[in-house]
Amino acid sequence: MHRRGFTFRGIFISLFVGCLLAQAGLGFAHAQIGDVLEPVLLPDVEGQPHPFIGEAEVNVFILFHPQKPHSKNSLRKISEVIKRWSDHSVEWTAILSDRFPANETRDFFEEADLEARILIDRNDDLFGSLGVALYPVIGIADKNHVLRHYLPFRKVNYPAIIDAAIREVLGEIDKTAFEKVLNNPESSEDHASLRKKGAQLGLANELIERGRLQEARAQVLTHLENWPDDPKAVKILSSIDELLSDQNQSPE
Amino acid sequence: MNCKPQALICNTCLVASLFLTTLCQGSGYYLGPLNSESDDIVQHMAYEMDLEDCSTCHEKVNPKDPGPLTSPVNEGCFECHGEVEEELSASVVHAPLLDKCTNCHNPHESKHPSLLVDNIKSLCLDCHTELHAEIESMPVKHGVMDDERSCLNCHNPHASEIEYLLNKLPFNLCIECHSSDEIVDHDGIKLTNFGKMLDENEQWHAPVAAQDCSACHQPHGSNHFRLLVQEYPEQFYSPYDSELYALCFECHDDQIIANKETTKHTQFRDGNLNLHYLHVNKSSRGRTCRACHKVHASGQSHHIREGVPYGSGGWVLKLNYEQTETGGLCARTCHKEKSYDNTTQVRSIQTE
Repeated sequence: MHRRGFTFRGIFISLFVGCLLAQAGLGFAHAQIGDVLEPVLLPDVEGQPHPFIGEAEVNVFILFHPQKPHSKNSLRKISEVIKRWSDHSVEWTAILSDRFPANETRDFFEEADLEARILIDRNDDLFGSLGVALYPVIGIADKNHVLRHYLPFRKVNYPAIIDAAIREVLGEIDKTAFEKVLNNPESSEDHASLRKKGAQLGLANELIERGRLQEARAQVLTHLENWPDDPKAVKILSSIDELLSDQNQSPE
Repeated sequence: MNCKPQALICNTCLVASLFLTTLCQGSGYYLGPLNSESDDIVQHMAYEMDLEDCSTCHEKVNPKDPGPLTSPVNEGCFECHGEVEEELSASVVHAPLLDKCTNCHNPHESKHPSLLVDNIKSLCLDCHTELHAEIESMPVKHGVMDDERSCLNCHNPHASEIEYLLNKLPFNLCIECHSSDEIVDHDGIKLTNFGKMLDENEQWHAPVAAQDCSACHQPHGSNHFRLLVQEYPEQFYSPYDSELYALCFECHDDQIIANKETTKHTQFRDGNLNLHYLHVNKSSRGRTCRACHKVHASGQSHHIREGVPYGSGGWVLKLNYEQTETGGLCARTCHKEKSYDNTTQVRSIQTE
């Protein structure tokens, strides 16, 4: 009989990491953010054993199902992420169950063009020990094998999230910046009004360059009807009025 | 892309029109002045201001012979539209914008918003032909596709920090509309007010928590009810067939339900007796996922639903699930009170 508590103690040494409190409770069923993971040996496709977590600064392991579209599509995207980090200390391991036929697995990897070590989880031992509930899912461990990120599948922005998680482990960005990428990337819905806002002033500047000051002034005034407090517009209007004054003209 | 000359050709600017028609071969759309008195025509500010002087953008003043542009298309546009140029630094940039603005915009005038060369949906789908075919053929439609803003309800046509040029993460887009009691589907059936429902239920399904409605729903159209990306049983009971649960098995391993005994694939087990298998994997009257789980959010852990419908009178029997450290228990509802412990085989369960 499988005893969860026993397996958990056998494979993972629980470690509380204060700085990761924000993500406490997140993780695999049996391995939480902040746990130290034991680098269990798994065979590659040739049968040679390798630890599923490497010795790099950042160790990314991807657990996936080679027959499912979400896994397939994600791995295609992840292959681009892997290339982006090729000159950094980032190790990539893709792990799949031995339930899937070897030829199918081989075809899949050729198609996905994945520059990662492929390991086979015999009898789903690792999946069971970690408590993997869905595919694809990514775990990211640091050089001390502490689980730093648990990244379940997302159809949108998965590569950006993986990038940000790696950067966070490398210390390039802080937790807040990572959370922003994860949950609150910049919205582009206000771009339309910004475009409209910018266009009239842009045209006004063009007209100023061409010496068509009255027309430029008209553009700025129209802009100010919509955005009366825009300091940029007020500044341009003031400079137009100065130029008109220099030319002994009055605003129309 | 097919060339789509407008019916109204500028008479006073015939030479310019011919010149622009030649230019338009690249974008496939007519880009010249429409020369229409119609009230619904919107003119480009630079054009409206300079009807008699084309030199804002062209080499010559004369409207009948404006000559070539003074700079490459986008350079000229960005002189005034600097904000658009700034958008080019975003993570995702729409390829037609990198090429030239006139792929989508008429620089003179248009009867479409934002000086577009066609209505939004037609313009987008003219290039996105695969999507066009999908939308046409899918029996379940998304209403938002047919409103005036169509694709722009969710996508930014220039650039975005979010994949697929989305304006926001999928959840934030969806919830904007689906937080109302008034939205109905094509059959007039009221749709859930998700804003309210999610506020009331703290346990969110992972894709909801990840703000990724598109993990399960196809926003452009679908072959499956509720725009689901794959098959999912609508009923409470169903004979077990893994194909029926294709939606769930996109992420979850079908081994959850495949085997009578497991110690690895589910925590819903009594010792090694797989209770998912027990409930679901039946040749008749297997309980579907929805029999026990709420797919978006629930007040109980493991997304267990609060109650199950019983009979035709609309009764809902409370399903009092209680999670324990090593398992859980269901109070008397569908069956007498039963508990499970996934660390040890505490009792023998009769399987069908």
